[in-house]
Amino acid sequence: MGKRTNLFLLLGGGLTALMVGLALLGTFWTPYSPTAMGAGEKFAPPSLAHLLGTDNFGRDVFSRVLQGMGASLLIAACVVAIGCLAGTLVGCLCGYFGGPADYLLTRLCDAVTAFPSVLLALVIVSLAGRGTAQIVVALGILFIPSFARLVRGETARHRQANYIQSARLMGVSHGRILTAHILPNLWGVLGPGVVIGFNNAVLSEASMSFLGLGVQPPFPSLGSMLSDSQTYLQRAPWYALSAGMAIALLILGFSLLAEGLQRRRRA
Amino acid sequence: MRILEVEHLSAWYPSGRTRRQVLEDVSFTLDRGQVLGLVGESGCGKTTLARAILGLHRACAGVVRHAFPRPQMVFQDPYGSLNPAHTLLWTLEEPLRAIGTGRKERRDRAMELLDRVGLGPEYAGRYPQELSGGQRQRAAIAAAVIARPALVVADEPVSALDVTVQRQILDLLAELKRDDSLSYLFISHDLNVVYQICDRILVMDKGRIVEENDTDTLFAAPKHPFTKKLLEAAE
Repeated sequence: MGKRTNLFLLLGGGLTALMVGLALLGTFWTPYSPTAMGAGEKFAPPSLAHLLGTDNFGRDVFSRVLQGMGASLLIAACVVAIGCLAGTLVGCLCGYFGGPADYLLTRLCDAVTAFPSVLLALVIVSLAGRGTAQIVVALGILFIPSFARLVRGETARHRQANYIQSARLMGVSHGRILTAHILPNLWGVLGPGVVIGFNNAVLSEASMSFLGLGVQPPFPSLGSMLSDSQTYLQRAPWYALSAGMAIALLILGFSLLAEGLQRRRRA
Repeated sequence: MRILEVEHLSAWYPSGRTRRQVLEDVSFTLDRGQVLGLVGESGCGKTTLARAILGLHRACAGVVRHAFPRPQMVFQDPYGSLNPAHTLLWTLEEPLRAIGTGRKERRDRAMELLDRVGLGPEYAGRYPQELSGGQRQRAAIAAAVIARPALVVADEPVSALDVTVQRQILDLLAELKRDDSLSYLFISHDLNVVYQICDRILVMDKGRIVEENDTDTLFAAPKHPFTKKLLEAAE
């Protein structure tokens, strides 16, 4: 492969940068207040004043999409951070030390993965109550197994390598072998893993908010906008389309980026 | 001076419900500054012996006495013996970090040793993936000797390299030994290689030492039928 341009990385990186940029912009500035009712007429179609039209309360859809993306991404970032940090810790320890604890934790991860994640999140939210923090914790816990499994496999593979045996002979401690010898070898798989995790987290958050369990009104979230707009699908198709397209473009960007990163790693 | 004593060492591998014995009552000693060769066909237990001596193979019984701490190992496969995530400088400094050497001295010794193994200072910032097999083996040898161990166990260190590179690596090992009063346990299936570098030779067959003698005597007048067979096959 060599010098051939990585189109996936280029397109995915560009699209992701654009969407994240818009979301960042939305947290600081929006054309109208996303929660202000009557910013324009109800169900106004897209125009120069309202780029993506207005919704059933006359709120500016573009402003709501901007801020909704910001909320979605922030939640996704927290979810991935919890999943990645805890998953890497569990995976490293299991893969390196093995033994009965590894067996037990691996089975537990398999069991968690076997359930549909939205279903499990529903259970957690119904126990802990609805709200943004609950969603973050519930999804964060559900994201641990995929990272743990990824890291465990890689760690177990490296543990067998001669350079780790050499390090043991040199008298390097287990802790340092894990952090200084094995961890730097994991970035290659963790990178795409984090991006795919982002992808899944955005989708999961949208699903939860769609079901009314995530971000609470009046604050916008892509999932809840999609849910609200269903009723007006024929009257104001731009409302549903805007929220849907924002989700689709975010996911597309992350997917392309993950694919690009994996291709670069293989090359 | 004895730097290694092995007495009645036996080792096993689990195989189903039973265990398969790979070493049977192996005893030998190694003196400081000596190169002891261990030859035998592949699968006869040479690598297991090396790993058992260094404490990397757990399922064993017997006594292994080291006169000095931290014996090192050089592996056959030069592709797996260097950490792909780190530069050569980092890899060379790591054994010194483990024994608490200061930053400046670490760096100086690493750079000096890079030079001695024929890689030069421009290789300090390189990653293993950027090196050839022979260069990697030089770097692996440098990492093994940088903390000045008394014993280096070299398990088929030149078997994965082509003949001209083999010669260079053997010369390097001989040169490091001259300067640092190192001892090697040198494992190989290749009698020609063993002949070039070893002072004494152990011949191993099916997990047992069948003959032990100094190199010249062994090559001139082999006693055990298995040694004769090996020598005939090598010619």
